[in-house]
Amino acid sequence: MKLTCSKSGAASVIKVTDRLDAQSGPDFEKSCDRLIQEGEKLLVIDLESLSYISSAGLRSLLVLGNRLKETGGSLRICCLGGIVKQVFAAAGFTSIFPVFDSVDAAVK
Amino acid sequence: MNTNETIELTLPNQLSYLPMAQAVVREAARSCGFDDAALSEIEVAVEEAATNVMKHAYDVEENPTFDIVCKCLAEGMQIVLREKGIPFDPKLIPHYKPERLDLESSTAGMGFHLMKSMMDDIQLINLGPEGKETRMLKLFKNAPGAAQTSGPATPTATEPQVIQEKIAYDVRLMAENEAIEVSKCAFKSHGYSFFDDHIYYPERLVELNQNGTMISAVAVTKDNVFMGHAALLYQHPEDRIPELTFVFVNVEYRGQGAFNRLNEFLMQTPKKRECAGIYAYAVANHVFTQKTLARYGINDCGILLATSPRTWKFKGIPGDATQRITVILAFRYMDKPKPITLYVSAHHREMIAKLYKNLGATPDWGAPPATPAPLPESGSEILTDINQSESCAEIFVKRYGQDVVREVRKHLRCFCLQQIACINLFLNLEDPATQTMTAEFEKLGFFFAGVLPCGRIGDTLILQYLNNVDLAYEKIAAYSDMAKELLGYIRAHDPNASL
Repeated sequence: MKLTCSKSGAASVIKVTDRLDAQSGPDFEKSCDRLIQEGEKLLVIDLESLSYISSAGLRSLLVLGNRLKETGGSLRICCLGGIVKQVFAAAGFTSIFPVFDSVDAAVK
Repeated sequence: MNTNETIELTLPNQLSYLPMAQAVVREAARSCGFDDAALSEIEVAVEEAATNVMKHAYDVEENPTFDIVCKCLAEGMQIVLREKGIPFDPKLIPHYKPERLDLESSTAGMGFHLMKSMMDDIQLINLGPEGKETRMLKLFKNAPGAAQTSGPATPTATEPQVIQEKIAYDVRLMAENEAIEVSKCAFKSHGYSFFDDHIYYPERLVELNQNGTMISAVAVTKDNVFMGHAALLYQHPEDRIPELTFVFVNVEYRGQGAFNRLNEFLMQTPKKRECAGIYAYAVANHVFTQKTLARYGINDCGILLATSPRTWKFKGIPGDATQRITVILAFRYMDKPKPITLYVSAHHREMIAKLYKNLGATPDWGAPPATPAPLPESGSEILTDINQSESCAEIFVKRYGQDVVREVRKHLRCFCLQQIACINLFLNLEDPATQTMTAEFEKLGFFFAGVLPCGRIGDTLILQYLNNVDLAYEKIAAYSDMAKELLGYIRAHDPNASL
């Protein structure tokens, strides 16, 4: 898994590449947690380049979402596709996170 | 892969091997003919199933493996994960409800929900002592199936620590929904080494308790956390005495006196069936169980050599595992022993009298007749039991007839040809014929093992036969003075010992 972070207005955009699963989930959480501790309130997770996600990856997102909620922030998801979109839908995660088609739409 | 071709992979139970498992299954599925979309779905299902095994099937200090088998079918592919981890009841898996999910929701069950979403069929199969299988089927079409289970309970990350302070707890009869905890506790303490595999099937435990064949007692904390279990089990419908068995307590609750309270509860609780006494077997590759039984007045009355395979393992208890396992038979009367006349052969009279005295009984001894009465012309009634997995068999002479020696020899030969390692012969001491027939059976190669009051066919003399078993007496651990004396006696009468 590879993470690329950038700023777009008030949002921190985190592009996740490759896989978010049982092995990479903990690293993802750690990296995003650092941003929250630095005071970031709005995280946009760009999943366009994510080729695979499992329940472990979903749980990482849920943990992140809860941490942000505690600090008064929020988590948005964008650019779902393929198996990632299918898993999101099957697990009901499209109803707990705002999901956008593009980064531009997510950061507005 | 061609139809019916199989790929099998054995992996260490470590998360770092998950990518390898997924890669193999993915390539197997590709060669089976699935498209990229289906391959991704299969990959998700395999991760969920494999992480389930890796995180929940074993304690962290174990170093087991699990198998993945992929079979190409005409209509798709079957993927089976096979492991010998802790027993598990799929009915207790939480039902994951994606439509009611919010940030605060528990995600218990999500992994299994995804498995069902990605595959066409999911089955969780309990194989008893052979472990468990997760069977997944993917058909050659895009519609995902919907199996119904959720992730199991929180994994145990480290070996539990023994709770030092005394806690309040209850001991009572097992409730139906506790059967799975009983199976889990059995696995944690004994692995799959229990000789009787009922304990690994929660549904069987419930049924046996409902019909009175088994009486299960459980110890639970005031918060209803499961601590331990003990049971009385009637092995046969006609038994008057149950076996004290399946006694175990979770590690963290040892030291709370639960063993004592469980056994006391079982002694006192009303039984649906007759309970003239209680018997138990203690393995003789260590003395822990023997010591425990002695504390409850369940005293030694027999030693059955080599009754179980050497491969049985006992978690956390050191002991010799280089030969078949011998057991010490112990018994306790529940009421004052009734007057009884027993007919024992002269050459065993002294030892049998000692064994009964050790049990607190003083039977009358039938005098041998000047001329033994002829056996009835009618055929003998003989019962047999065989346990293939233990390679052990039992022959019960319920009624003597003129053909009894031939019939016993026939059964003995049959068992030997099946390569059964040990055969135990049970003779009714209340029948005068036993007095003279004992020596006839000893001519077949049987030798003294002990006695059992109130047995299946009456007060019983037990003889044993070893079918080419390599046995070192010095490796048998006997705790009580009676057991030590009996072991020496048995060895002196074992025709194999002098070879």
